[in-house]
Amino acid sequence: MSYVKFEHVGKRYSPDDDPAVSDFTLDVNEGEFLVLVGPSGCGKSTTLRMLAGLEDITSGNISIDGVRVNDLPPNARGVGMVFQSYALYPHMTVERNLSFGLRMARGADRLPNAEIDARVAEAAAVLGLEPYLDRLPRNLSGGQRQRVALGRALVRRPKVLLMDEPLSNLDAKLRNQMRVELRRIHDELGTTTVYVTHDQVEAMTLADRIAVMDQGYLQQHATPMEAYHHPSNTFVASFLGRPPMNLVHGTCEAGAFRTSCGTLEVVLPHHAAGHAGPATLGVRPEDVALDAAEGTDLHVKDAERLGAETIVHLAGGDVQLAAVWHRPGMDADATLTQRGATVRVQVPTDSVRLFDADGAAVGVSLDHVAANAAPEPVSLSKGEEE
Amino acid sequence: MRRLATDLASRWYTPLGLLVSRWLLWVAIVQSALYVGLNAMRQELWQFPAVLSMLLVGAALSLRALTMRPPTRPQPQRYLEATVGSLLLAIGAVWGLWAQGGTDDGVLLVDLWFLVPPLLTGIYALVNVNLHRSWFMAEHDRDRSEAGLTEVRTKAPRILQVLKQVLMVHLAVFALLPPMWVMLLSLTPGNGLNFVGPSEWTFEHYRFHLGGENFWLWLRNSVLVSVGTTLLGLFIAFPAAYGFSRYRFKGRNVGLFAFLVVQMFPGALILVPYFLVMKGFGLLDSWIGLMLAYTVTALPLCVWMMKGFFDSIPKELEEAAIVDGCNQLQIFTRIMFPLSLPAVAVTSLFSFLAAWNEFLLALTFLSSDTKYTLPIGVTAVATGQSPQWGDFAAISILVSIPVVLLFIVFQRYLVDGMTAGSVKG
Repeated sequence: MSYVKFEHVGKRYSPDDDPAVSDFTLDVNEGEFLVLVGPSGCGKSTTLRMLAGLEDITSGNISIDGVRVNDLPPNARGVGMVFQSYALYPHMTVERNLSFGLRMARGADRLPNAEIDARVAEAAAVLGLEPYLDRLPRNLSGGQRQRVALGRALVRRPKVLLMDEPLSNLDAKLRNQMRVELRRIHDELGTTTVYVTHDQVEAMTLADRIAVMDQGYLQQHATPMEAYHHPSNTFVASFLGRPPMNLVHGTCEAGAFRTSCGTLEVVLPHHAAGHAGPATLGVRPEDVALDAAEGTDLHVKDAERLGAETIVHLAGGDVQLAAVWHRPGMDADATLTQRGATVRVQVPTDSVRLFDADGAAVGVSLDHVAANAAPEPVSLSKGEEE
Repeated sequence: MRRLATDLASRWYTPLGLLVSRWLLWVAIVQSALYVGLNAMRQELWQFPAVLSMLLVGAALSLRALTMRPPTRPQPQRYLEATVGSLLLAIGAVWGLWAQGGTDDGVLLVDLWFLVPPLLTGIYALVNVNLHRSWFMAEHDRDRSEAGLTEVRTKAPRILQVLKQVLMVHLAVFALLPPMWVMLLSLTPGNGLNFVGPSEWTFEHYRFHLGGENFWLWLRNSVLVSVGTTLLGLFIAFPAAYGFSRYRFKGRNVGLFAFLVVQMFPGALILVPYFLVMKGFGLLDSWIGLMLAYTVTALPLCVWMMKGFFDSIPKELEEAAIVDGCNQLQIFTRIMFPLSLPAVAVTSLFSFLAAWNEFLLALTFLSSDTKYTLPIGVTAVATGQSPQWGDFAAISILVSIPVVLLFIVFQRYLVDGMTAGSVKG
């Protein structure tokens, strides 16, 4: 198993342009499934392509297993890549597609033909492609093509497996299936994987750790749950989770947060109590207590009924909040979700995250950002939080 | 009070007979318009302006009436228009045939070809006059309209199919007449322009060419030049198109545009400069010179076509190949070339044809008859003191055979290549 190190990596496509990636520093541990996630244009694909060797690196270093690979050609880096459009060779059968990379090897790297066949058979078995080896890609379904693309990357036994939005061309049902499948294959083979997506569901479900990017900068590098519960800044807070974390602007004074009109007042948890001045308060919609005994009266703007939960959008004064009502029964009290109805909500102190005027998290969550060099703190952070 | 056709079915009901008339009228209009053009080139008969006006006005009048939305109240003036239009059409066609019959030429095949369809259209509409009346007078009730709609839906596609086939054959005959004529001429004994029946057909003209030396000499020259042009063109166009498609460099747009501009110059304009350049290089009266000139002529289109094709091949495919360990040359030979075979086939065929049929440059550059290509040879047979029409027809057929064979072989790729670039695979 292999590890990858990005050290202050930067990328400019041309000297006049803004950098696509800036000062990107990150470690991918052995056998880890790292997901690079962010909105389009955030530099996540560029980062992956620099690791693959498809883009030049403008500044900084990338190393795989401690070897600097900046100037090595892609095939010398020991990476396998799955492209968004699959990029299968249309004129080759599945078998040829899978073995092409191995057959292209020359000299000492060249495997005997029997070994190539064995590897192809192995990959086909893992991916359930045996019945299709003689077919051309155009005669395969989307999911099968996806498997072939994955198989083509895997037969080379890559040190690092790279995937660039591999599921975005599949329909929703197949995407869920393949997501589970990808995780299974990763657990089975243990290949270090870097996966790029803009879909936060994929990021949350697949990743051992996720790296959230925006505008070319790494925003947070943490386990999915950590990033979800302790977002390092308002961008991460609003990017992860659906509906996103509620962000309310106001000021902090004497251990309490207050919006400018005073609609919402929250006593701050002790780790953020020392903060004073303008701030942004973050609270997850599922943490907002609906129909509380005491708190703020807001009125219902809209409600999204999803079955397992109902998302209630509330407003009042200078505050807008989304709240999640879990498991509303079919005959549940409809007044809570009726447009215009008044609902008393409470924002519990212990679920609040505070961000300063620049949007950076205040207090305990920052320590986590620094502490996540090792993959263990998953359980640690949980313990601290509760 | 009479019930009017106001229900939904009646408002959408057009009887089958009217639909057929509509389709026929379109054909009649096209044929009449073509006949105008033909007669503009022939001897002038005083009747023809009148005949042609009758045909066109009649067809237009009928069509105007027949393409209206189903009437919901009686429309006697439209009924009159349709009937008068049909009458004009029929009478015009008959008059035209009669007038042509009075000339020295008499009624030719071509007159029948143009005038019979309008005549039949007019007659068909007049035969259906009762149907027209009840429709234009909105006499159809709901039951009849519903039954009629069912009839239209079930029968119209088949009738339309048959009419289309007839029209195709009709047009195909027109297109095939000249080649058929050459074919017959090549089988007719003697070197005149008159035909004889099948009993006297002969292969003497073919024997003359195939047995002689000149034909084989010219064939060799033509094959050499055409194949050379194709290969040279491909060798240059393939990488050039790849570069234009894949890389962004200074002068890319100017280069692409320049290719188009070169293509737009009339051939005759660059003839003299070509001649001087070739003379300067000492390439006059040589195959190399011809090949170079043909390649230059065919290159722009080849580059543009292949560029369009390469544009449709995703860049990710090449990146996958890079990750799989291909170098640039291997990407070319292992991935791009096999994938672009349809484009290669089309551009090759195009270069080959351009070189195979080219006449003007060959005539200008080549002076010794041992270097002649086939098109020059063909003209050599047909010109001179006494044109040998039979020999000329035979060699024309012989020249066409390789092209036809090529088309048959490459047909599949040709269709693929034509649609390539338009649809992403």
